[in-house]
Amino acid sequence: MKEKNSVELVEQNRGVYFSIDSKDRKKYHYYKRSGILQRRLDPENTSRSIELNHPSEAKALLDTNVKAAALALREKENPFHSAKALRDNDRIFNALTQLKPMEWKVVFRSNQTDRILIKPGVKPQKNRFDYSGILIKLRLKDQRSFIEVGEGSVQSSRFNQDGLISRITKIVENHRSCVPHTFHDKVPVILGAGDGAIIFHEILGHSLEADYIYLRQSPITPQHIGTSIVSNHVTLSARDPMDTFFKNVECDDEGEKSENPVLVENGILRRLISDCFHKKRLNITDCGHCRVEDFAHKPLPRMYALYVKPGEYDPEELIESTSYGVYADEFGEGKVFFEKNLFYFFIRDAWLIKNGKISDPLGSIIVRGNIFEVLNSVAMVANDFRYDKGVSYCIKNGQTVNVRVGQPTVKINNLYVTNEFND
Amino acid sequence: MNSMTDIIQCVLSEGESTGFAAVEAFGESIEKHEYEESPGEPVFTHFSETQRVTARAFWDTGDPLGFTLSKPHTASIKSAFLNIYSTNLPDTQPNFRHLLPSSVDQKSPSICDNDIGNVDTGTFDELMDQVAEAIIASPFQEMKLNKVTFSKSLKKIYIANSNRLDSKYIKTLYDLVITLSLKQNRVDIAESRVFFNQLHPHKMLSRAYNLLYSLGEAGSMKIQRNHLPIIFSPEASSFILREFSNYFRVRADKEFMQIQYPSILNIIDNPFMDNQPGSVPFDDEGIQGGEKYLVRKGTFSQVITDISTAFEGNTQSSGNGFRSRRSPFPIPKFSNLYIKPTVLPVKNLMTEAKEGVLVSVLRLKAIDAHGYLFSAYGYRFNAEEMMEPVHFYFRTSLRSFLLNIIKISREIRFFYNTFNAGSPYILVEAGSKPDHMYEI
Repeated sequence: MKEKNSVELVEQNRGVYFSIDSKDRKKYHYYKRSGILQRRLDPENTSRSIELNHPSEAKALLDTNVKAAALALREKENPFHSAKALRDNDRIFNALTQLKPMEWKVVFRSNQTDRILIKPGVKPQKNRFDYSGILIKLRLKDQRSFIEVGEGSVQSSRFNQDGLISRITKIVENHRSCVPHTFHDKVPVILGAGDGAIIFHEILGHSLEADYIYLRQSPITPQHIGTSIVSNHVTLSARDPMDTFFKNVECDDEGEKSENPVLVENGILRRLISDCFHKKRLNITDCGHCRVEDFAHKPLPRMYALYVKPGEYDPEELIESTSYGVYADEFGEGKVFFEKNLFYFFIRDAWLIKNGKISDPLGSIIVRGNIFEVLNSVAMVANDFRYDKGVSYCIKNGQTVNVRVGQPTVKINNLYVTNEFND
Repeated sequence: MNSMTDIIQCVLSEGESTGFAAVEAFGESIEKHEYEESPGEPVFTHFSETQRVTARAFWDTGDPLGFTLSKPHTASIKSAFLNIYSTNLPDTQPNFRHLLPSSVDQKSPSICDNDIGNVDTGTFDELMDQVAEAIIASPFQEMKLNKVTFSKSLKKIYIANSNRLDSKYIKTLYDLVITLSLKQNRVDIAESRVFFNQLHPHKMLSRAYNLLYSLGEAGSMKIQRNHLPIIFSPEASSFILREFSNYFRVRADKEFMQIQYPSILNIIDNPFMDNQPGSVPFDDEGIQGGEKYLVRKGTFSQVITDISTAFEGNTQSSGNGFRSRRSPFPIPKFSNLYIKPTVLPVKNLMTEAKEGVLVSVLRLKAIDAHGYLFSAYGYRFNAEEMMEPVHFYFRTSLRSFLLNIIKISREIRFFYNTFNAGSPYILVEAGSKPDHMYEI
């Protein structure tokens, strides 16, 4: 493959997955994979991915002539000792023993990914993504699905045990004391600061991805740029220099950088989430959002991060302004149906709001609605911006990648709320 | 050390010399060619070569440890064993290493197309021509071709363990996905086949016409009767089977398993079917499964297991231990899961129903406090004649769906997505609900 219009990605990915559950079953999995993804861009449109034993073996396969030193990646690995992980987090296990859920599982992840992006005439760019995470899964009596509480970080493998224990305890108490409640009509839902932005990621972020737009799966078209698509309370950004989550990921997986991170400004669409391929096809100006799960996958336009910018209200004002509605504090999985303009999401820690005050616990609920009706029903945005707890991830076309979200407390009117199905 | 056989043997010897009591080595080598074309765009091609090795290492007691390496050398295998050995401590719980098989029969279902080498870019061009011809002949001139994706994969699987098991097999797979749209609606029609000559683009396009027509023209069906006979197409009933398939894995509850369902109902998992993409001669632990009745004559008889879950349940593995690409630890997965056909033609189901709806497309709309909510598209029929397209919603659960099965046809079709799920036509009785919805 000798071609000028090419992008080559050399990768080394290694880490550990360790889990332990309430029956004392342990799984310890170490992995180390290297490979190369070579792409010839227009007009050739060919690519190939090859697994390697070590990234240095990529030199013999590269289109572009680079020095061996340019392919040097970190040799040192982050050690992960299972016994130490159990010892360091013993208070979490004690708390689980005391709370007595039907079953539980705690998962630790430690990952180091190094990527080199090579393009002709450009100095090779190196990206680094280190991640440590903990995920606590609980299943309570009479419940079919697991509740998940987690925390992740790119800087430290130490977790906030007190914070995690307090969150687990709160959720368990909510579910054990929850009062069944039927909502007969759409109600306002207040999404807690931080992780609540995963709903914006799903229902709006994906709508702005250029491949969905190119294939006309998204309700958005390039003609929407410059027009109002959501409530004017909403400003969305795809990057935040204050957030350290992707601090060592300086370019995307085809070596491009997004010039301006603002996607939506006061409800007006400013740009799409695109890679180079779709930038050309949609005749738009932006790219820098090409991602692959690893070298063995086809690149896709996707989000790294999505932040809802803070508004002007105190978070208490959002609750006080709600005579009857729901406060959502922990979030589960969801699904979006673009073709029908619909979505649903699990809320794992929900509370009833009555007369401007948080009252009864509701346990797990499901919120659903019409995508654009909901986006135009963003009524209030508070000033208490928070990042998520570092465990957000996104699956698209079978590829899983870490993503980051963040938001202040947000009030959305007009959501349907139902209880969870437990057959 | 170039061949996968050498690498596998190296894993066994390095694991044992590191100090582990038993080792299982699993190798997967995949060559995959993909072709993709959208109208007005050049053909996109992608080639990938994967050579991955996974090890599961057992102490005398305690849970096994695992690692995954890409194209490993002796040094990286040694280093991986040292890594997992030095970062873990065994506990005293008994483990299941004694259950690892020591041999496996060499008999195999027909799952390898020896002509795979002759399938290339020229073949893809011919496929594109067939699709274009079928679209020109279509009665729906407004229908547009959005994309055609075709791939061929050659997969070689190697499995060996310290109990002297050493076996391998080769499998081929062709995937064809045709994406078409008509007005606002879009469908992806997919076929996965073991042999290239089993792909039928013309049949796929016929399915697409039916689906797009019912999606586009279907009017909301008014609830006029308390009871509605519904015939689910193989595609629709396979979709339901897949949605509910978790109930046939390890976590089926006792109450659910004690219910007596209609005696015509048999649900089978069979890895030994010729020409099916879910077929394998043995699972990823070297266990030969064979045909298993999960529901026999309306009664639950077993769930699928791998060695680890079988050990916990004090039973034998059903030969359904398969690895995901991310983990060295197998989990129970289906091979070819299907509802067993009867001898009745679908016409017999329509005669029995007299008047009802044939559902061709299903979409899961929500799971909430009242069950699974499906959006159904299909055609009304009366006295065996197909009539106008209709759309309606219905709620159901697996328990309720199975209990309401009246008849099952003989025409079975399979649909592959992670595992292979198949079903014949199924006649079910639905009841109406006050909220303008049907309930099964």
